[in-house]
Amino acid sequence: MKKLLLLTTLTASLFAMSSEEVAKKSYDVVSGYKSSLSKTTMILKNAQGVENVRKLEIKKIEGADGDKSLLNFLYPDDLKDTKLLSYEVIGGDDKQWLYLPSLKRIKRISSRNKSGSFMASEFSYEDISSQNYKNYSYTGEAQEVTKDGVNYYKITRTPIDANSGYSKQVIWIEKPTLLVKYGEYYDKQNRLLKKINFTAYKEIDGIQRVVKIVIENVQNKKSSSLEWDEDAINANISASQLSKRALK
Amino acid sequence: MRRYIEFLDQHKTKLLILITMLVVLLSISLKDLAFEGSYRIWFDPSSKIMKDYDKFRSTFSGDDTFIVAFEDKEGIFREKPITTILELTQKFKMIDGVQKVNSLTNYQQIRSEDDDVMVEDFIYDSKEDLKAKKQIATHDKLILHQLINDDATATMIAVKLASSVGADEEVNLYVMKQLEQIRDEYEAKTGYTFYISGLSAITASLVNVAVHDALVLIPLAVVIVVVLLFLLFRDPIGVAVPAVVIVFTFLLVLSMQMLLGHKLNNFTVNIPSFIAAIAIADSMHLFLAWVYYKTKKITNKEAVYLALKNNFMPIAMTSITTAIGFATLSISAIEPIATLGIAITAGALIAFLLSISLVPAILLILNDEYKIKPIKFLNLIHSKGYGAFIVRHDKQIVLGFTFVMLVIGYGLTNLKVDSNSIKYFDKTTTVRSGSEFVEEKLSGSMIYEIILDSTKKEGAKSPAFLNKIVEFEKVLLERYPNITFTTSLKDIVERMHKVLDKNATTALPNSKNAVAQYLLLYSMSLPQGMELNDKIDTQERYLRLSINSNIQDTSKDLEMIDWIDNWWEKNTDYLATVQGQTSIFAYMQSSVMDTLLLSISATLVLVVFAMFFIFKNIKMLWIFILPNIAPILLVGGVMGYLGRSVDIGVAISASVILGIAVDDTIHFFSKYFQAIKTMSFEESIDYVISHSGNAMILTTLILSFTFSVFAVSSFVPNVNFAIVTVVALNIALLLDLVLLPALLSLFYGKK
Repeated sequence: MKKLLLLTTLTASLFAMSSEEVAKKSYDVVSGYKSSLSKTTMILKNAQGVENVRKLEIKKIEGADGDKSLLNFLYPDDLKDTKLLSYEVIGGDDKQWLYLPSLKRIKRISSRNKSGSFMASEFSYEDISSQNYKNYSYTGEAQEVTKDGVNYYKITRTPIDANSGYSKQVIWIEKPTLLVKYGEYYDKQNRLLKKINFTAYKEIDGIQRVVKIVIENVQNKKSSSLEWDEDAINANISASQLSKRALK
Repeated sequence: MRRYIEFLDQHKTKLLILITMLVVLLSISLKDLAFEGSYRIWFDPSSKIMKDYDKFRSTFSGDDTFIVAFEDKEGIFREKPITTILELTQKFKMIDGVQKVNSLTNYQQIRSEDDDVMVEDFIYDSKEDLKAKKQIATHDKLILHQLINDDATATMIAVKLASSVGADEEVNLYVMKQLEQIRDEYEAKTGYTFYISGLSAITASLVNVAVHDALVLIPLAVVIVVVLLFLLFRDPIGVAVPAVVIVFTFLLVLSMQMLLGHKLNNFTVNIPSFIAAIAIADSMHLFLAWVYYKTKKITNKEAVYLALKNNFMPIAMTSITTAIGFATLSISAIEPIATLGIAITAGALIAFLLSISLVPAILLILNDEYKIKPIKFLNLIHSKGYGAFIVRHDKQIVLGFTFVMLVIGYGLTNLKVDSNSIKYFDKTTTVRSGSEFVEEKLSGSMIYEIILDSTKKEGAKSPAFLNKIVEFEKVLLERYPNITFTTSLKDIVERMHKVLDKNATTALPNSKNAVAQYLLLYSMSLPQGMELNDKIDTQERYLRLSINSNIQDTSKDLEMIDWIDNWWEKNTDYLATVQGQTSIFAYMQSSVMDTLLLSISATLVLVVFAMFFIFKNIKMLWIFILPNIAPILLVGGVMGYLGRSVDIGVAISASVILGIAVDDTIHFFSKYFQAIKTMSFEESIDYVISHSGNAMILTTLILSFTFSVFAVSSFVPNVNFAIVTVVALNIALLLDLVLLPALLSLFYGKK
């Protein structure tokens, strides 16, 4: 009996995974798409339920040292042809350029801290950009928890970039699928700021793609959702398509 | 009446125990005594003002803001003051319930170098080139006269509360407490004096002041009553009888309030003092009548009987007229006023019931041998010759009073009905001195929120709309020199345009696309927590334009609010409404004042009817009314000469004055009509003085001392209430004792 007990605890600790390991595995599930072309709709909702809509086309290329992306604003009309080019810097400050058609100029966004609202939504740019696990530091083992009858790994991660809008994020990763399902993001004052919910994924060519994200700002009671209307991977997007020259 | 006394005599002990137990039981509810100071209590939750305001809050997040300001005579742009601002900004952000902190250091400066655009904290640390920063700041119209003054020696930090919790007073009080703690810590550390002001500070202070008055001043007033009673009677029974009636009445009324779920606020906190005024008059008349009959050679029971018999009617009548007077308040749509009306109406009736049951019951316990010492001060029991004196001098007295009244009454033409929420506070209070500092050094401390409606979705980005804001600000600043600062999203668009488009020829871009793109670029550059969602709504239809104004009177506020609405309607295709707590305070002020003034007028009419029914004499009606209105008019006249405005405190005092003055008049006439049946005019006046004069004078004396306590309140309406009531009560007494008999003598006495 004693031996059996010893064995179970031993195996349990053998199978227990560190937070970082879980995060890496979870990231692997959504990686490998090479490049993607998507169309998304963002819906903003204020505390009274009044809504507004934004539409975006997103081109992305995966990269070992960070992803590149080009956002083309489709709606509202006054943002038509405005484009945002971003080069991810792992654990640091992403490089961003915005093309303003009204000025016919490209402006580099050089602010140190870019953690504010994206298109007046409750998402910040970091909420919807690459979720590369290397952007965070982790401590300890992943906790195994059950929520509404589903088993999750619960891990706490801290953004490495000092200019992130968050002090920490607690995320729930569904156990069998290793998909991130929920998150609670804490502001710099360590108060709960947002609850994020990855409500749907779908598999394309063996790679998991998020279909819908809903985020709720618990401090101002506003919420936003981002839904992928069209999504293609291995989309043959070349690096030159995601260069500054391609912006204009 | 005799059977009633017999009944009381038999059951006096049971009655005393029963009533005492009832009061004690009900008083248990007082442990839940709570206070509220929010503007909300003044409005029906379904009123348009509240609905609009709530919509504003959920659309733009609220306007609950504290301002913390300080001064460094050697200049703000030096290491020590900048370090202080950096640290305070950080500390304030950490307070629970705080959503956003705006300071000189985290002001989001927009810069551009080549094609790099930066939107960043103006100052990151105190080692930066602060001289250069000063140069920029003193030329930046978004900083100057708001975050710093002209010579950069003073600065302020705005602490904004989260809208979802801002309505909650507890959060307000909590943040205020935290701010005061940090202030104390930093005053010790830096040697600076920090000033706290802002709308939220007003709300928090309203609660704090009400609590102070209720917990310190009201008990103090009770102690003063007891001490005065003892000094007058030097007899435990003389203290016990009136004190029991006062304390029991207000315990009962207060517990009723609690049981009905009301909290005390700055208005209803006055209930105890009103109750004291009413209860003391009832019990004093009865008690002094008993003292009078005790000096005659009759049994104690007989003395109690006579005292009750001769005073039952006047006490009943005075209680009913007081109840009626305050009942007019209870129909008010403004809840605190209605609550006060119901409470005082109930108080008047309870005081009456206790006076005719408890007072005789206590007195009946005493035996026949009990010797009550005649009161030492002002013993009028044996007064004679006063009636004759009045008759001899009636013409001079009436002429003299007429002259004084005409002269003072002229002051009424200068009387203003006005106030302001900051002026509610004594100059020594944190919030008042804070507001005055901010106003003197930096910017107006009153903030109005104008919601501009572009009338269509995404319309707020239209250059035509933004240009109207520019035009509006120009006219507004010309017309209202009190306005010191205006800010809206338009300023950010202007700044982006200037920084990004070197070839710009106009202040604002001329296409909506450019506005939208600037705003996208700007908001993408901001740090978390500094977003624009408190400046523009989700559908980008409405913009918020905040204006700072120096403290001005409510009537000015309302005029300005009207003008703003009209300007937008007349000169543009857009709409504007003024929101925010400053405007709510203004509406509150004016509606409360209107209600009170209406109630006083209604009470006067009711009193006229009551007087007619009581004395059934229409010819003398004017004499019944004159001594009651005259004190109010005289006080109003004096205030007019002194240039003091009528505020809520003064307006309520009119009800109290009317209540007490009417009591005096009723007591006077009930004794007078009783006497004139069998006696000459002179003797009748002497009878009135010997039977009611003492009670009238002593009631006024005790009330004067009691109300004087409130003159030390930090809440200015309470101070005004105290001063006005005390002065007017004494005038009323003088009129009742001197002018009234003189008028009677002149017009009716010599028949």
